[in-house]
Amino acid sequence: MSKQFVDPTHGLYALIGLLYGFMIVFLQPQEPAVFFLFTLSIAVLVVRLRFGFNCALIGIDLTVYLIVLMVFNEAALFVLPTLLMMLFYGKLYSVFIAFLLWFGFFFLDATMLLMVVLMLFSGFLLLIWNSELESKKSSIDRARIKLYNLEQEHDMILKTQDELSRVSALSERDRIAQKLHDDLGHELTGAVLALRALESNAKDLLEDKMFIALKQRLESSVTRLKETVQGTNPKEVNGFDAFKELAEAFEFAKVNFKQSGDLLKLGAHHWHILISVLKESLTNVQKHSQAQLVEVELLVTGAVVRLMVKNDGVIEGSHGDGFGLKYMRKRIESLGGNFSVQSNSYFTLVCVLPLQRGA
Amino acid sequence: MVAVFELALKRIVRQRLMLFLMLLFPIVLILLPQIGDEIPLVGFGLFGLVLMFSAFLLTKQVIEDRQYKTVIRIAASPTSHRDYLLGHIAAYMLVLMIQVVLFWILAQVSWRGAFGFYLWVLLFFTAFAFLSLSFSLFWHTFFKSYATSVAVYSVVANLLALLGGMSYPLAFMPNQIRRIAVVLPTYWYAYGIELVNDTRYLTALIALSILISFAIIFLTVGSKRRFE
Repeated sequence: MSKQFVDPTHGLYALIGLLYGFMIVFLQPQEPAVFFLFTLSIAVLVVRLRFGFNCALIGIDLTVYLIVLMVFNEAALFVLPTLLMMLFYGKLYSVFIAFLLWFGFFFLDATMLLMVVLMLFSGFLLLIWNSELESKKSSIDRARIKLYNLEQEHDMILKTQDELSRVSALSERDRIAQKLHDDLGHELTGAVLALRALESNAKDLLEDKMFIALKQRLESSVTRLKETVQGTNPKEVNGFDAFKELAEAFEFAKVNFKQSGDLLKLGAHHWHILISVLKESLTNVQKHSQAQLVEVELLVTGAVVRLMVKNDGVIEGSHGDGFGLKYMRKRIESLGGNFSVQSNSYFTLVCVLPLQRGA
Repeated sequence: MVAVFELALKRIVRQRLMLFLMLLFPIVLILLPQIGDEIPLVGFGLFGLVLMFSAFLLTKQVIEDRQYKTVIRIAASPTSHRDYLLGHIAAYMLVLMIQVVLFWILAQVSWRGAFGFYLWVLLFFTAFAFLSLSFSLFWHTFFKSYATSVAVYSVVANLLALLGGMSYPLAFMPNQIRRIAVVLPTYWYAYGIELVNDTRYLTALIALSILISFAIIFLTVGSKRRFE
């Protein structure tokens, strides 16, 4: 939003200036004491406008004015700018005080009534203008925060997508390598062994060029297969190993890791989410707690997998979901899972994921 | 704060011509002739004008700091705005007080008069020096460059002195003008010294308080940090 040239505070200054101008014309304060009160009221007001004001302190100067008012009535006017300022800052009871002053000290003078009403009216207008501006500003701020969060989320999604496609490629390679090793490798080795048996039974085959070529081919294909399997099998740890490694590598507090159920039911995308949740929650433990012990429990049942991370170091007054947890919750819920956080003497995070999508 | 104070003093001392003029004018004022036993009150009024200009010349640094963007560098340094302001004000006040005391002693020597009267006058000088200082700071906030500021100020300060009754005996002031003049701080300075001369001390005290509250108003508005 571009900088505004005129805002409600300018209106307030102008109005206060007008009021004092009016006082000079109306009162013509020639008497030193009156003029002193006049300048003093300006000084107090200016200091208030500059350094912020405290309503209890306004009580003090209202009392001073009231004492002076016993001596001369016109001093009631000096209270008006202060009342106007109070009105501007939302203290509506200043209206009441203004009418009380008018009633008590101007003996129901009509010009003064007009003056007081005009002042209150313009004060109200300024108040409304100001509060509208403030609400507009705060709604813009809220929209900015939302936009910022969305941008972060967008980044996270892109990152997750990359990560997920990498992980699924790796697990697919893992599966292929296993298949090659277990099935094809087994068959080929069997064939080589059968050839060798045949060779030892029939010595004349040693001179057969065709046989020798066949044997060499077969042996070299076994070697090739071994190499391929080794090359295909991803070097980095995945799935459960990565999960366990993450839990064990945590140094901030002692980690108690428990697991039960058939972990083979979990797919690559499960592991990805579980690992990110664990990572996020361990980071949070390190950042926002004084935990001594962290319990991590992974449980696979018939239809769901449940991850619980619990720590004993809750710091008083630490706030709710940060951005990381919010994003986790969204992802888990989009998979039909459930994510809950509980904070009392322990901080407990429970994440439940269905094993099959839409289950 | 002490470091800023010393720095401000050093910068003042560097302006030799200004210091020379500041010391010269009080001496020139002393040469005003004394008629009979009466102390020439106009001399005190004119000294007020000298104070106004001295304070203005001193505060030149503040507007120049803003003009040449030094304030931004100061804001980036570990000096707070309060220290910067208080250090400068203290240094300026010190220089102004030297001028005031010089004039005060010279006036006692050459014009004579009761010591009680001069004590009151010293109070008024101090208050008015502070007022001039805060008024100059206040004045500078409306301008971006020193040149325009000083050009307008020289007219306005003279007008203030004239309307406030500093440059002639107050008895000559028409009643119509007096009605307007009450809003000017200069009037209360001139009037205050006259009150002291008439030994109306209570009213003089009120006039003094008016000067101080004017100073507070100007200082509060004028001390706000500005970057341009």
